[in-house]
Amino acid sequence: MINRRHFLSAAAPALALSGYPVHGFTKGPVEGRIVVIMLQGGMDGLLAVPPIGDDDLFKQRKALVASNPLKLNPLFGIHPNFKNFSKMLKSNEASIVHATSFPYTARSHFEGQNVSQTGSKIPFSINTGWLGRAMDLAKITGKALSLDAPLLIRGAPAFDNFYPANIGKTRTPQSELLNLIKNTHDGEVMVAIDKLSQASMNRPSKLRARDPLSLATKAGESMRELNGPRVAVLTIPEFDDHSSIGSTTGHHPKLFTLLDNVFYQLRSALKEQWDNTIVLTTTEFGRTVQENGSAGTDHGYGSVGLLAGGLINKSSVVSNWPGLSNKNLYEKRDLFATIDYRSVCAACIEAAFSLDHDLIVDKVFKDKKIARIYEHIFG
Amino acid sequence: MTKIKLKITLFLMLMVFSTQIQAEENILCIQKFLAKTVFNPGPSDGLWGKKTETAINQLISQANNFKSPNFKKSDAENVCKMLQGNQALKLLEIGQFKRFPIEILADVGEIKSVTDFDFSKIDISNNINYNCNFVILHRKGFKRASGKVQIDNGKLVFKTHKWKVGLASEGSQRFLIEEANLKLTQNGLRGIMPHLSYVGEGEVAKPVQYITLGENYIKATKPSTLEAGILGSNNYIDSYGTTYTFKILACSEKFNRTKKSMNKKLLCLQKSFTDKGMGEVLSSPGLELLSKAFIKDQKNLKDKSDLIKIGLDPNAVNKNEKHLLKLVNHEGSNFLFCRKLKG
Repeated sequence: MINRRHFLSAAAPALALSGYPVHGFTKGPVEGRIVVIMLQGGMDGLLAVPPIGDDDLFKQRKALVASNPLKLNPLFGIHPNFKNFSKMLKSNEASIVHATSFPYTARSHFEGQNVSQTGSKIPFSINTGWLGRAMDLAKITGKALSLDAPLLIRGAPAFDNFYPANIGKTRTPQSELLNLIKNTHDGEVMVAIDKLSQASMNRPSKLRARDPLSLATKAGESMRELNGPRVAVLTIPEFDDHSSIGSTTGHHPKLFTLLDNVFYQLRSALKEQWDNTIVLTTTEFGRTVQENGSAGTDHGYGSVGLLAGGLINKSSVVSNWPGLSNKNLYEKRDLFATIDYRSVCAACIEAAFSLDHDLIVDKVFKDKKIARIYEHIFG
Repeated sequence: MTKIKLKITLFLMLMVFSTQIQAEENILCIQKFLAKTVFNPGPSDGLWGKKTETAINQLISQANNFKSPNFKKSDAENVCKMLQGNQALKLLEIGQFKRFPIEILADVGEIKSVTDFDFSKIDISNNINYNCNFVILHRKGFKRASGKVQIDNGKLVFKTHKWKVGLASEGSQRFLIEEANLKLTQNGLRGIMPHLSYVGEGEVAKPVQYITLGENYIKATKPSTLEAGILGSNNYIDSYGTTYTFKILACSEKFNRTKKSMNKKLLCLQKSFTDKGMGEVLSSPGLELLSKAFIKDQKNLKDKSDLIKIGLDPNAVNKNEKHLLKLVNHEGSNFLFCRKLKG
C-alpha cells in the first residue's frame, strides 16, 4: 500500500521524452513540439500572477503578495522572480491563463495529480494520460525516456522506457513505487520494468541527482533535432508549501526562479525549434486565498497556467476573472476556476499536433463540452 | 393642399419612426449576441449605452489582437450584420473567455544569453589563432574538466569538453560549446562561461553556474613562444566558495603551413590526383611559394585571388583552386588530411 509520505517522497525532478518520429510514419514539414512542466504539490497561482488590480487581493492575503510585482496590465502582475518569462511575455512568446484548474475540487494530491494527467473528471478512472492519447490520435509513434514514465504520456503507441541517467547509479527506487509502475504496465514493458527494478535493487544505493535545469537542457537538445522527440514531460516537485510559503522571497519564490530558468533553458536549448514549440505548466490544484496559521497556504482549487513558445503569436492573460471577495470564492476559501484547464491542454494539442478541436475533446478527453480556447492563446 | 402637406408630414414621421425602430433592432441584435458572451452589455433594451459600446468594442478588439475598432452608435447596423454573418460562430467562441493584453511598461530587457558580456572596453588579442587543450583544476589539483578549444581570432571556440560531475546527471555537451563567451587578452581570459558542479554521495543536484573570468589571472612563470595571455592561470571562485583554475595548454598553430607539413599533404593530394589521372596539383617551386607566403599567416584563405597574388601559376590555380585551398586551410594533422582524401 502506498501512503502519502511515500507518494510525495517519490516525487523528484524528472524528465520523460516521447514521440520520436519513426521513418515512414510521420509526415508534414512543420512538426510542433509540446513540453509539459508538471508543478507537483499545487502551485499558488495568486502568488505567481497576483491580480494587483483586484482590491480584495490585499484584503485577503496582504502578507502573501510580493512587494514589487511586475505590472502586466491594470488587473494582473507577475512575481518579480519570473524575469525570463516576463521578457517572453513582452516579446509575444508567452501567455498566462488565470483562475483555471482541472475539473477537480477535492484537494487530494493523489487524486489531483491523477486527474491532471489522465484528463478525466473522475480520479483513477482511466489508466492512460491525455498527452499519450493525443499522441496516439496524432499517430506520433515513438518511445519515451524515463524509468518512472509519467501517467501523462501513457497511452502513447510503441512505448519504451529508458532512464536519462546511468542506471547503475540511479537512486534505488522504493519497492512500492516500482510495484506501482509495474502494475500499470503489461506484456513486455512490465517484464522490462521488473528486470530494471531487480537490477537496480541489487546494486548499492547511490543517488543520481537530477536538477530540473539540466533536464530541461537535455529535453531541449533532444527535441531540437529533426528526428528528435516531439513531447517532453518535466516535473518540478515541492510546491506543497503549507508553511512559510514566502512572498517576495522564500520557498515558493525560489521555485518560481527555478521554473523561470527552466523556461529559459528550454528556449535556449530548443533553438530554432522553439518556433514550433509550446511549453505549458500543469498543477493538480491551486492554494487557498488566505494564508494559514503557519504563513503558508493549503490545498485549494483555481490556480494559474503559464505557457510559452514560438507557437504563441500574441501574449495575453486569458481569464474570466471571478474576483476575490468572500462571496466569489469557491467554498468561501479558494480561487474559483472559471476555465477548465483541459481547454488549454486541448488548444496546445491542436496547435502542436494539428488536430481538430472536436476530435481532441471527443477522443482524448472524452468530454465534448470542453470549450475551445485556441483562438485566445494562439490566435 | 392641406391634405398633401398632412400626407407628407405623416410619411416623414413614419420614416423617422421606422428608422428609429431599425436602429433599436440593430442595437438589440448586438446586445443579444453579447449576452451569450462574457462581455456584459447591460440590459437588452435596444438602447446604445456605455456598457453596450464598451462590451462590443472589447469583444472585437480581443478578436483582432487588441486593435480597437472604436465602434459608435452609428455603426450598429454594420456591427449587427457582422454578428449575423460568417464570423458569428468564431466571435461567439472568442466571446466565451476574456483576454487581457500585456502592457508591460517597465524595461524588462530582451532575452539574452546568460553569457552575454560587454567586450567593448577590453583589448582583445584579435590576431591570435591556435588549437589548444584546456583543463579546469580544483584548488586541490583535481581535474574537473578538460577538452579541446580553438582560439579563433582571440575568441575561444570549445570543440570538446568533459566534466567530472560525480553523481549528478552527466553534464550536457552543449554548455561550454554553445554558451561559453570567452576571449583572449594580454592578461588572460575575459568573459563568462558555464561551470558544472560536482555532486557527492547524498548531496542534492546543483544547477549550472555562470562564472565571470578576468579578475584573477596569474602569468605563466616559464618562458614560452606562445603569446602572452594564453598560458598562465585564470583563477575563479564558484558560488560555493571553491577556487578553480582554467588553464590553456599544449597549443599548436591552427594552420600548419611549414614547408615540411605542406609537402606531406601535397604528396597525399598528388597521389590521389595520379590515381584518378588528374595530372599535377602543384609544381615544386609552387609549393615553395605557397609555404613562404603563408607560413606565419593564420588567416583562412577564401579564394584563388589569395593564391594568384603570391605568384602561383594562374592556370594551375584555376584548375585546382578547390584542392589548393583545402591544402592551405587544413586544420589538424597531416595524417587526418591524407585519411580524408582516402575516405
